[in-house]
Amino acid sequence: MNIERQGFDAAAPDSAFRFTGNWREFAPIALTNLLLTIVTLGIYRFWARARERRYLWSRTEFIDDTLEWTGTGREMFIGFVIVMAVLLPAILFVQFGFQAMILRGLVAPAFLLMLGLYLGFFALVGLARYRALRYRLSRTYWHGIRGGGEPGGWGFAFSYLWKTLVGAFVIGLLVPWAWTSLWNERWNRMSFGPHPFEASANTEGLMGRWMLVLATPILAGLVVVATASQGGSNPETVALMGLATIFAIYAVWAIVGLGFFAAYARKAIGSLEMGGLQFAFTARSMDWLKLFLGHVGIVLATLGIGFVFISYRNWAFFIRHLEASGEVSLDTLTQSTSPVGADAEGLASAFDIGAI
Amino acid sequence: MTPAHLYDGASAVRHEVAVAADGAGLRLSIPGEWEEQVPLAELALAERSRAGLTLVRPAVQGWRLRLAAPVPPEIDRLFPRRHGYGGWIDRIGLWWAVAACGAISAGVLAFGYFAPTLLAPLVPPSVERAYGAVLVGNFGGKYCSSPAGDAALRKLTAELDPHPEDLNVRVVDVPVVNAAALPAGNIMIFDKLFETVQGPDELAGILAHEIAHVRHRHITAALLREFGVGVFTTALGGTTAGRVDGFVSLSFTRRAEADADQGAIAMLKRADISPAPTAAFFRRLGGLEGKAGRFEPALAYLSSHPLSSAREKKFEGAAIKGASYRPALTPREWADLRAICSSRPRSGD
Repeated sequence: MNIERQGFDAAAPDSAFRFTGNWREFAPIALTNLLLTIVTLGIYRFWARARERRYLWSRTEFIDDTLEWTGTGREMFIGFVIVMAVLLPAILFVQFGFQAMILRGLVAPAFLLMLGLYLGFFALVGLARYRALRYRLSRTYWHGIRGGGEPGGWGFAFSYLWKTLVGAFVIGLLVPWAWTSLWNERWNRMSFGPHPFEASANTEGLMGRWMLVLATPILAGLVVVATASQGGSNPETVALMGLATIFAIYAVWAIVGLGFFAAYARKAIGSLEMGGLQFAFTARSMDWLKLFLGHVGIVLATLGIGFVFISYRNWAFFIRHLEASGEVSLDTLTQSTSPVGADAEGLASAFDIGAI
Repeated sequence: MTPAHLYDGASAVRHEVAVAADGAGLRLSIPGEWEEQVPLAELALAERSRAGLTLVRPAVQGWRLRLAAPVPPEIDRLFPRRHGYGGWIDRIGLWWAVAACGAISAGVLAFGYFAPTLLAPLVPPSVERAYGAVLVGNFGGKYCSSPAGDAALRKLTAELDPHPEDLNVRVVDVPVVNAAALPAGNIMIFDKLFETVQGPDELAGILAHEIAHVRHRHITAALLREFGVGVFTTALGGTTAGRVDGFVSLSFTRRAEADADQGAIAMLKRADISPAPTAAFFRRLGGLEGKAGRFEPALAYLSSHPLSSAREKKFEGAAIKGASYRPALTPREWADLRAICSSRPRSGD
């Protein structure tokens, strides 16, 4: 860990962001969180998340001071309970009402209602992403100043629904457009102090990698057909070859997908500006691959317990590859006036999703 | 006087101030320019680390006072140490909290396991009937009926249960090999089951199993579980609790299935019908499952029903050698029952 840190400092001595955390410091937090989460049947997970973020934010330096996380477990818990109270009727319908309607022969109306519910849930996922980002910014302080965002997010929820559906049209060709335009739409409603974020990501340079993602299964299919047509007669060899081929196809597809995602993350964060600051993200596909292989390695080597370090590694990875250039004028960086939402990230917890 | 950074929450400008502790709180000052007395009651500890101390003033958004390490002891001791686990856990200590939460959680799980069985008999039949009517309705008009078939089914039910009037046993035209007990004494035999079942005695064993579910109020107990503990734990507890609850729920169903088999054997014995054909049915079912091969015992823990081979042995063992059992139905009645759906116009499935 220390060598890595030194290497980072030497490589990018003047990056505005620095992560100074240490896994030995984080381990007692993560392990006691795990213990308390187990004995409370999961209810402690909100407080666990708050503790974890307090640590990670406090070890993240921007220019001359650290970030500070001020969100609490209690507010995340309450936000989640409120969301569940609203969503539970729909969940109960899915569990019982649908079955009752089918048993009565109301097949078409049941499926129609189910479809409507699923579309509604899908839009709510968009809303959850919006609100989770706004919540996190509003609880993040630097120099005593916090971020925030416009309240609501229903417009974004609707965009999320239709842009994702349109993105999937024409064999998924419009997915990069959907992703970047949703990224812009979301970040353009966020702010830090008095300064709005401005995001202007486009699909330039992303389409090539995305075409590769789409083409891989087709190319793989051709390879399989070609090898199968001249395959040997021994059924065991054929089965083994088949397994190896399937494994290879998944591995290649995952790497190609990672390549697209790496380019998308660089593009999206690189398009972000705020109050005279220009952000950049430097992680290449290879860095992402190392991150994921590291996750797998740690989880396997610790027989699973290592999963508590995944959030730590993700955050460290994010901050170590995040850069900002430009100037911060402290006089004009005044307190945010955006309202502090009370829903915390309840909706995101309900759907078990992240913000970024 | 200790040097510190002060952010006032209004702008990001950092003020270099001097801090001194006095009886009532902290005195902050920029020598010759500005001075403020902050009462201790208005201050709270945000973080204590090796880097120093961060204090906040909850009434002023963004107000931060940062003292670099080493913090003078007269200031440091004003802000008691805490571990930051949250609220009362800090007060009683981690290990006491773990023990207390563990005990409560064990209690909740035990309640979830035993309460439905204990509470089910207390649910009035009218409530169960109303719920059954909502859930089942008229089964989409898929009931099969013929005078001779209905008579055979009534006879079979009456042989197994002394109070057939509380039961509504129906054959439905749904293409699944199964039978099911639903709320309010509704028992559905799916028409396709007749293709697998080879005689009236086998059907008697299956029907007896479903009647036992009704008589032991397993359906009501399962609904109580789903509505009460199931919804509560999966909604509030998230994935951890969901998984634990999944196992509890599974063992709950498995226990109910084993109970129903026991009840079915007792019913067959009272009706003087041989349990051996039911064993044969499970043997055939086991043949279909046999594909799972040697993984069977491992899978048994994850399956809601006991393994067919175990059930086969149970029914086989209940058959008394040399006893003169009587057939559950006459060949004529059996033929009528099997044909009960043939008079029904085929629905478009």
